[in-house]
Amino acid sequence: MKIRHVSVFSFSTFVMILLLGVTAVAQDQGVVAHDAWVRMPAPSKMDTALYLVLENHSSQTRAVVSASSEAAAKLEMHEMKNVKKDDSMSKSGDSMGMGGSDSSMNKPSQSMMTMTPVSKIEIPANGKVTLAPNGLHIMMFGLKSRPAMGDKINVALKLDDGSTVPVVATVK
Amino acid sequence: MKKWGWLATFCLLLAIGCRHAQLPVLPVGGDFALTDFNNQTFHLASLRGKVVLIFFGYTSCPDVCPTTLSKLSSVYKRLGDDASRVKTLYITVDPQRDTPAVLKEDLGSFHVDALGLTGTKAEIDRVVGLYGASYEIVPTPDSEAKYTVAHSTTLYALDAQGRTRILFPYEATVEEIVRGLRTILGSDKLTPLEVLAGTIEQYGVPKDVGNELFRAYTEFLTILGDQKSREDLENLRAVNSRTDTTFQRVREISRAFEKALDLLFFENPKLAPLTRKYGVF
Repeated sequence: MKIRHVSVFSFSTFVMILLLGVTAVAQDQGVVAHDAWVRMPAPSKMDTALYLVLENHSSQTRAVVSASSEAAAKLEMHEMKNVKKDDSMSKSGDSMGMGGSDSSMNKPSQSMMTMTPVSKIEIPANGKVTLAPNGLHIMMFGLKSRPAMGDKINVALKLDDGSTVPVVATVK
Repeated sequence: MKKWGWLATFCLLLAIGCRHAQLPVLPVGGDFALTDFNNQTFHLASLRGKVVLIFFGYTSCPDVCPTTLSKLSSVYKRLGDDASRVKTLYITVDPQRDTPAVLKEDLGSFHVDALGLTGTKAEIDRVVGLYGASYEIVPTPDSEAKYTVAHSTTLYALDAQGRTRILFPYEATVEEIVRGLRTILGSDKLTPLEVLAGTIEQYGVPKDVGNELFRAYTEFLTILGDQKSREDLENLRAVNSRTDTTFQRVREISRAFEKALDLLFFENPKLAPLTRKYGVF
């Protein structure tokens, strides 16, 4: 009997280890992050941008829906976009008082770069998405301490399926 | 292509080769007064004698502005001894948050000889209007940022007399900015022919194209240098042009020159993109 119990125990343990291994393999087949870096914040700021590459090894599209880090108070996803200033706004002299416009009717409005919050970042099935300057990035607001060049910052990205992708970003 | 078009493309070549007098004065810009990051009144006119770079941004900008400033750091390194002749003006479009102290602190982290400028909304709007730039405060109440500022990304280059000479797009490379600045600085004291020869060598233009350009140019000058040929051309009537050997010779030279310029500006893989980007026709 004793031998049988030990055998059952061993078998259960073996199955558990096997399942853990399978789960780990399944996670390896999902989304992974690499080449993550954080821009050194400006001297007067405790906010900065995080960039990285996300690869989706699964056959289903996944999306990052939120991000968090112990190193910062709040993380938000943003993208840089090129927008054209509304010509009617510039000609009316900006009645909202919120913007500057060229005062000459002969000068066409230039396009502008702007930062826009996004609610999610999709990663195509068996594909990748790159967060890089002039495109998508993750803003880190309220860094709890000023990092030094080369420091590593841990970030967790939550996906739409409830899983979490760990990220280790280098300050550059 | 019409003759005036070739004149414009030749001027572009000289601009690429950096001859100060060839760059057109652009219809944007002008003098202005703002407050600098030392809390002193700043007048653009005080920088006469220096080449000036101007761009509009704000210090909470996480991406575009640091990218431009990093690029300018590299530009300053490449300028070497000429770096002291170039001053950068960073004009904030977010005066509410970008106080002089903030501008001074944040610009100090870049290796750029930059002066941060701020002012009242009216003062900044005036300068934005002078340079044909744009900006817009965009409220983002759900974001920690509270608001963001959309802004144009052109880098303006002024000569030592305060006249706008080059508008660098955001995509301009360090190399392109350095060459443009050297144009304005007039660092190259070369003659147009030396610029042409240098360009042919630098851009790997096939020797037969260069030879054809110089052959045509030399033969044209030879004809003009001969008194009899000059007089023949001055007295030539249109009805006789088909049979006049001097005229036919000049015509052949003109076509050969045009064909060689075509190959130089539009078919050279390194020059053609610059022609398309900066050419004025």
